[in-house]
Amino acid sequence: MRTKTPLSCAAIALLISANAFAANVTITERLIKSLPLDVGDSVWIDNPVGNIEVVGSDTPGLVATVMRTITGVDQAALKEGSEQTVVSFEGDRNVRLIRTILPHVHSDKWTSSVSYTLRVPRTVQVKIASRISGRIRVANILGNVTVTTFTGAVILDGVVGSSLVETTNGKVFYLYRQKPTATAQVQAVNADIDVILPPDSTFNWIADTLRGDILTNLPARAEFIGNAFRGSVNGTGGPTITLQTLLGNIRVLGIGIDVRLVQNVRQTVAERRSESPLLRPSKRIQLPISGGPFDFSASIADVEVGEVRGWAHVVTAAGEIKLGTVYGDCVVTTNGGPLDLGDIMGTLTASTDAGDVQVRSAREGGRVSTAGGIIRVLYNGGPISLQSGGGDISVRQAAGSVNAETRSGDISITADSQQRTQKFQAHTQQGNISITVGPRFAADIDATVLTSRPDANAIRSDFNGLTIKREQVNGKTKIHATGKLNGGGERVELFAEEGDIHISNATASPVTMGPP
Amino acid sequence: MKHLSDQELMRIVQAGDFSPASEIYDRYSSRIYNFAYRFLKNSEAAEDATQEVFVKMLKHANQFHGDAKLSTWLFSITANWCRDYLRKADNRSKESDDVLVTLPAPAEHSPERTLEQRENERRIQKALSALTPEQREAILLSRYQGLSYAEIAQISGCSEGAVKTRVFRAMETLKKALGGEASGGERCLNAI
Amino acid sequence: MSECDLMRESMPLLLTESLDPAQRELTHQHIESCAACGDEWLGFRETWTFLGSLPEVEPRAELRTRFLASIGENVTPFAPAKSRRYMRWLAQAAAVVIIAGSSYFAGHYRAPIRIEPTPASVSRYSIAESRVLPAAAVSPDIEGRPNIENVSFIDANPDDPDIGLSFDVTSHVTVTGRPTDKSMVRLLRYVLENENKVSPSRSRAIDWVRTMYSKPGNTDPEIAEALANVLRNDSHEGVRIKAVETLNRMPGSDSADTRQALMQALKSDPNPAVRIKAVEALVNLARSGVPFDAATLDTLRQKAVQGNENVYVRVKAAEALSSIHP
Repeated sequence: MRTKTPLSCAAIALLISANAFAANVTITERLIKSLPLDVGDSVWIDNPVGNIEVVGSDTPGLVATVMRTITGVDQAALKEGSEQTVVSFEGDRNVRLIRTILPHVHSDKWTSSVSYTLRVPRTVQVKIASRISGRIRVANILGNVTVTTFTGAVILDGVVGSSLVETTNGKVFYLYRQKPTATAQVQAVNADIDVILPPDSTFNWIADTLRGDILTNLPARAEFIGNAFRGSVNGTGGPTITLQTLLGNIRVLGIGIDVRLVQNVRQTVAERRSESPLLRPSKRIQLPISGGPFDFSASIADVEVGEVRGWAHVVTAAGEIKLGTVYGDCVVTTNGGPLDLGDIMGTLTASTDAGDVQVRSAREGGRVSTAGGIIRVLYNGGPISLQSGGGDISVRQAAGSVNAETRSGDISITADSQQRTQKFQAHTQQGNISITVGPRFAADIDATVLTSRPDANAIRSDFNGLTIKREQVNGKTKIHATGKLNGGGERVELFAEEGDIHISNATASPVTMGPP
Repeated sequence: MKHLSDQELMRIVQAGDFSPASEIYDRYSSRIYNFAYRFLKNSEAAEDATQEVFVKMLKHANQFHGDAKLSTWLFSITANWCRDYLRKADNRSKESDDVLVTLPAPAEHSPERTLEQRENERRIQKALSALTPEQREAILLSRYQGLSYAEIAQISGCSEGAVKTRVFRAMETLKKALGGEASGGERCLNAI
Repeated sequence: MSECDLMRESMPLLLTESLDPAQRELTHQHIESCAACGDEWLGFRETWTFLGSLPEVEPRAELRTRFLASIGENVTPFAPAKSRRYMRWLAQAAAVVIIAGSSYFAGHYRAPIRIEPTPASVSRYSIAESRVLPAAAVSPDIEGRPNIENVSFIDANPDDPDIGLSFDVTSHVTVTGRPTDKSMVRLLRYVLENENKVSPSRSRAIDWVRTMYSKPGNTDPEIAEALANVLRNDSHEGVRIKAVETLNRMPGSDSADTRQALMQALKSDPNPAVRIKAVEALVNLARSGVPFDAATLDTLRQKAVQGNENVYVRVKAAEALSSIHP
């Protein structure tokens, strides 16, 4: 049975206040409603906006105090807000459902929020769905508790039954008045999680955070299983407390123990095992200058160093890496994130599992790879290999050989104007190739286009001397151009599938690489 | 004359000088004609309507208030004329199945308009004639003349809410007639 | 009237962009979150577009002549009785003008009337034109080595001596104008969305669009729409990467359609670079205060906690969520 309550029954206190600083008018109404609820049954609260407090007691039945606040630009807006913010008491004595019914879309002339304070039998199951709240608190409940919200603080105080909290932003507090006996699970994205319990509690705990710290002042044995920390406190056994937050911190603290005694579990374990960067602490680095070699490893980290006076070695699990000038070899590896590298005086080895790579200058050449992303190299002074799992590759001034390969994307290579000949290899499975060389550049050209367009003029050259042949291969047209530019020189080998190839005579001035 | 606004031209007309007549005609005749033709589905009647509208414009120029839009006023006159035309019982039977191909070819199309284009035109015309006159008037003014609901309300002599309903119902009918597959018939359930 | 009914009644206003920005946004949000209304909107949009194929018809030139001739008759402007007392002299003057004017028209009516073409009658070049030409109208001198493809022969009536030769011929066209000219925007859109054949032009077109349409004065929602379609549909990863990168840099590409395309790319594009750029674009939108609906929040949340997703994508999804205020 559903009761849509017009807020006129039981005690109603009506407060109208005018905001002196704006034209808005606010009305707050209170309703107190008593409903039968048996022990061991359930109460569900569905309240998109507003605080919720559920407190268990030994008294039977449910008592709900509802405060509905409407703010509007004028009386008409208040009236509309009041009409459209409905508090609904549904269900029966076994399952009570209390809902705030708001239209999904409403006028922006009014806003509303409803806060609930419920007194329920201690043994009920509690289920709360919210979107925005300042605070959701569940206290003294022996039954199971489930809370789902987007933002706000969630406090479980003296909850004995098993619990599940799902939130995105905000904070989660678990306060155990006695040793935990049931499972608890928190799934959050950006929220910090604090669990406070008696110091002699015995439980298993799983802590999973990508960027946050994992801190405890209790005796814990922890190890990595996968990327999550799994441990036990005060020996094995007891319930499992699972705390997952992607970017927030996790703290497990004993009541009465000095908070300053907390240790960073991630740090402790990472000192013993250093294979996976994801298992390392997260750090943030922003340095103008590193006076010597720079060796850095972190899980999730954005790294920015202006100048490294030596070699550089950076390994992260994820994050953006930006190095200005490196006076030596440079090795940069990340499992995900863009790389922005400046002047690399030594050999460059850069790889990312996902993300763009930008290199201003690789003086000694090297190797750059990304599993998916665009590679842009302004200048290479030595042989360089560029590989992308999907994305364009461009080299604006190639003074060393280039081997570029992408699964899908365009390749563009411009030879240094001082180069009389150079070796270039470019291979794309889906895309175009553009090679720009000086008018006196000498090379042996071998260019192939495989296309489904039978009449395509897919190979164009500003230079004479190329012979083009066409043949059918497996239902596609293979256009093969060979020949010598300016009498011949190093081999330029090009392959484009479902694209075209241009060999152009340079007219643009090159980028000049001066000393840093 | 081309550099003068509608209001300026009408002021000249109101002063008794009819020299702006051709300029005003050139600016609006096509729109008036197309509206009348699509409304009445009769090219002869549409020509008569166009003629009458501009003559009335000159005759009753003093009824035009400078703060209004000339287009709205002209469409008002046109809509009134068309409604009067339809009201006469013997004229209902004259609503013919004129097809566009009997008229001079539309300005932007080459003479060899494809069969598909002609078929589309026929379907649209047929769907429009399935609307009530009020709905047809509203949708023609909204879709083809780009008038606001406030302007249409003024022209049709009804409220903006009524215009909104007419346009909506017209679109529903046209959607079904022109092959709109979307059901959209279920009440959606809002997640709270 | 239910909320859905209200939203649907507003859909024609959405088509004519007559809703204020807040109401427009709310309506779009509802459309995105309600499957039934989403279908209805699709149907409305398709019907609205289809209605546009009804061409404008020019009234006959004789009509103009008839009208101008008719006002050469004694058409006295109507004046209310009270104003006649004040304006009798003006009416008399006007009568003189009318008589003089009708003489002018009458005199010229006998001679052929030269009517200047109105803007509506200037025909526009259509790149999609197909023509049927009699052989006599085609010059027998073929110059310039045109590219002729898809040749077919027609002999509709064997008893008739006429035959037909049908083909596609490529002619080089250069269209000049501003980036904001609608024809320019439409041409680019056509190139970007041309799925009929694999084309190297699409990739180059995106490069050029990024340069030209990232400038604030040149933004056009149709370009953003075209890029969103490329992001959804193109089979080349490299092209999709370019499309999403360009979308991220274009000011004003915060429409519901773009967000939907970005979300889809984040959810299911196989290339991690596309997913990274999609989530970076969503982060930028979140930081600029663009409201996100429940479906987008859900996608971001799922992505953030998805164990087998690239960690960087997960972190960025979480960052987007932290910037959102529902």
